[in-house]
Amino acid sequence: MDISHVDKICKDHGNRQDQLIGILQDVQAQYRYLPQKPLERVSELLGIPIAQVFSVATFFRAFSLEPRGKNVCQVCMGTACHVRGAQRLLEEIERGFGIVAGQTTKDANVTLETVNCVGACALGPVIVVNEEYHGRMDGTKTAKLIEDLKTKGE
Amino acid sequence: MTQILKTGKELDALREKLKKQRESVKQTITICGGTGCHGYGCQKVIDAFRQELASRKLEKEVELRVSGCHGFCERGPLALLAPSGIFYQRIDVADVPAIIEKTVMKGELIDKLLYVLEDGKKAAHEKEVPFYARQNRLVFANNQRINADSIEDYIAVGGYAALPKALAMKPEAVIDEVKKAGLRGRGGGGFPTGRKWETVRKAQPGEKRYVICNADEGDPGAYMDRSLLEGNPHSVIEGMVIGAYAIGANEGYIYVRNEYPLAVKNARIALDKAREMGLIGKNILGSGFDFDIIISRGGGAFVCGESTALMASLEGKIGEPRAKYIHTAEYGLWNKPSCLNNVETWANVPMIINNGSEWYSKIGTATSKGTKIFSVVGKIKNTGLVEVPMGVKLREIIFDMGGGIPNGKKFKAVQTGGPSGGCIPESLLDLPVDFDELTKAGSMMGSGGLIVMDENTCMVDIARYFTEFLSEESCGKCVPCREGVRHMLEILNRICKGEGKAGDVELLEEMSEAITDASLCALGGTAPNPVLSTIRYFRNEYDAHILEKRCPAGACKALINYSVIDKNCTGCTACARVCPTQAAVATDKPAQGAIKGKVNPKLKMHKIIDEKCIRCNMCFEACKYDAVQIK
Amino acid sequence: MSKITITIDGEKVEATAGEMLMDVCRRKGIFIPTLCDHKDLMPYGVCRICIVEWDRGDWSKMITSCNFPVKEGQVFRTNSEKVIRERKMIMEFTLARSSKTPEIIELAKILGVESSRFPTQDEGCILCGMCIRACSEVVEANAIGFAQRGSHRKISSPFYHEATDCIGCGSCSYICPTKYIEMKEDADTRTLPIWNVTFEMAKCKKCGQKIAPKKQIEFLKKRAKNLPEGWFDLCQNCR
Repeated sequence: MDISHVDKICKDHGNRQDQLIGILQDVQAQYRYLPQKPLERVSELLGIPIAQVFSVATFFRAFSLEPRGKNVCQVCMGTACHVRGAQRLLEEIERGFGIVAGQTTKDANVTLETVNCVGACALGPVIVVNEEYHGRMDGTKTAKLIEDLKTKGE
Repeated sequence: MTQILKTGKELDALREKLKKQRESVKQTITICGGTGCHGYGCQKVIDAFRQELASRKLEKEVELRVSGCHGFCERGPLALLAPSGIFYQRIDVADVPAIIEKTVMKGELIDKLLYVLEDGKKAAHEKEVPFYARQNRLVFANNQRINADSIEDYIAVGGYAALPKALAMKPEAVIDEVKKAGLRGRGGGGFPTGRKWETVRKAQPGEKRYVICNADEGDPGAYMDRSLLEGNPHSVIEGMVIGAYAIGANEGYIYVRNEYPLAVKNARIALDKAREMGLIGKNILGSGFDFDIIISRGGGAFVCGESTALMASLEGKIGEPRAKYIHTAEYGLWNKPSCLNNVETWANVPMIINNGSEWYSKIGTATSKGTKIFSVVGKIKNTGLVEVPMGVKLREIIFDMGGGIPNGKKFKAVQTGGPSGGCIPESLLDLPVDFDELTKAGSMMGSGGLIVMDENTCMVDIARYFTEFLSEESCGKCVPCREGVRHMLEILNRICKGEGKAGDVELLEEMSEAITDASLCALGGTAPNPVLSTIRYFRNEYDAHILEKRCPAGACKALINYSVIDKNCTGCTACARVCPTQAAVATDKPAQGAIKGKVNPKLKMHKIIDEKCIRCNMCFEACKYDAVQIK
Repeated sequence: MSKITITIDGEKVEATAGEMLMDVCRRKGIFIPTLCDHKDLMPYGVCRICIVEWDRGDWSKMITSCNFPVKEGQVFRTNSEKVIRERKMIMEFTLARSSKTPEIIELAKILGVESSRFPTQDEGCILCGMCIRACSEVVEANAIGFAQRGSHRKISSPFYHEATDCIGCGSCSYICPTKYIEMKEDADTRTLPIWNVTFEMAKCKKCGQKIAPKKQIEFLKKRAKNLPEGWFDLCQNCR
């Protein structure tokens, strides 16, 4: 694994301890998850014990220590989406891919996540696929979304 | 070339110049580029306008402005034309040529893009639309007047005018002004801002100190901070510079949710521009005062909205709160005096300095001054952001501005204050909204999310939903929050599954006392609020679940059944086609329901096999003849 | 620090301003239960069982005594009905988590809790964080930490693998109030299974007794500069 990216990321953040979360976010964007070696490098460069870096990496929802899928599907579970039936859509997607929220399909095509409000409440229920918002979702539109994602994996 | 501003006079001169430039443009089209409108695909509309203007060589005469959120998210994509003031909504790419051709060039209205009023008449201007008409937009007004990434626009509409004024005052006088204005923190607690500033200024003399903008807006259903930071980041920055000057800080942070990429981007652009022009950085406007701001992105933890947890995470640690017996104003970030306010609070500061505390303190109620931005979401006709003076009644926000409940359903409750707040029933809708009144009703202001619920919303499920949210978002540090909230959730899960026992409600109340009193931070301390407020106002729904194993709202899956109303079923097979478990099937009886007035007896009546049904609601959604019922 | 007077359970008590309330109570022989406080560590305030009632005149507030710095004139109640009731509930939460842990069962009994009304688990770790705090505050090795959050929170070595910064000093094991952190030794090695580490032990050059893990001695040598040459070669008895 090429960990030279980590040096650049940390440098861009001025090797500052108060930028740890931002650094981890950029590291994750680079590797699609937080692998051990890059985290050890972050620990070394910032002078933060690896135990603490690991704690932070597992504390925040945004980070994954497992490789994520090529496509990230996020179901908004904010209150506005909840009262408009987000739970049912989540279950539909879970059935569609045979995984539960937090998991990645075996073929590494899709990672399914829930998020607590993306702040697009007027569009609720909202599903975000690879940062693209799909608003006013219902069962039929979600079924289509699942099919589209499956095709992407073929 | 960017001009580096060395004095307030230079800034004034620049403003005059920019104003003239602005006035010289004949027409402007402002498109809302907030996240909501982006969700509707406004980028395509923006691109279409650019193309259309270019192809007609109108770029010089007509300025296209891409602004932040206008607030009326329900009706996006939105456009506002100046100087005519024409307001178009639900714009499609296909409408763009006509808007240019008819409205921009000939001044004609396009009927189908106008907002339809309740009486069927059309509104051509924002002020005729009830959603806008009753608002008092002070903080939010500039969102639709400026390009979200243009410091020049902000300056042209009067931005950064408060800064030199504040820098010419004594820091203590600035604090005094904010104190007299009566500004209270908009993030939830409602702590008097000026008093906080004073404490920070006086703490640990001679030591470094920090100002922090909390943009880790975690309340689900609240997005006003996002919209401010996206649409008008300079108002927040200006507030922060003034605050930093008042308390004597040279370093500041904006701690923003990473889930808000556009806010991160626009805040970054704004800081870079402000730095280039000398409005942050060294020797601001020749005053000798240095102050700079950096952005820190959050990692997705609701608890980081709590000041001590936010500061811990800024220090590169996990977002764990600590006891506040020693305040962060005295010992905060890196153990230095730290002043944390949320986005909306900071954005209020420039106008207090500009207009004076006397003007400001006339807005609002006796104990809550100024305006507040609310996000009105959920089962509501007009989802969006409204800015109203404190003291407005909930009923006005929900029914007059929000337009009431869609699909002819009945209002049941409004949830305020996010997961820490509570549900307010219809009987309290005439409550004036301010910090203290909401607390008295067992809820709280929170950051201003109003989630409207109708008769199909189950209040036990809502309590369960928030408790689950909080259990997942608990940092896990202290016992009452980590263990207690988890056990509350277990009980609520049982109740929603029809496995509730007599005495469960009393046990929940008993647990709530210890969790409220003994939790380490406000997350745990307020965690029982959704449960307590729903017990207080909707006890009958708990009893129905526990004693009768019934969900009156028809929402709890384990307590409802799907069935076909024979006389309505037309045999169209829509339900059978969408059912993922083959629970919806044809019977051998002929259908009785009519399609376009005609019954086709060759089609078979359908039924739902209960044992196979997973209550996914697909058949209910698919049936166009109201033949599927939930009981 | 200035001398002050506070009131605890109706009695005037002398204290030093800024002193933690729990320390004042202990000095006066007032029983305050705790599961996360330790004299060698900074107060952490997480078990919440040390709560007392702070009387503010017309209202009162629950506070944790372990991390509450006292000020002149403050009034506290350590045994009011509210205190007793809420402590019991918190104890029920902890007992549900560690339902088979003798230390927890014992304290629960003292507080009058015989059983928990909540679904029980058998978790030896009560997440008091003493191991982690000892490792960072006292030893300064920073080898272990918390992983995850909420009800998934656990004490952990980095990546749940070998704790690479662990020096095998065993402080975590000594300090653990529920004896959850096991430490095993044989003739030549010391093992802390929870952190996935095993250390070779250094032996006294004179008597051959085990002294400490070699890694710990290396760690100490770097920090203790003024000790005589060969100090770490001998055991305590032979020095």
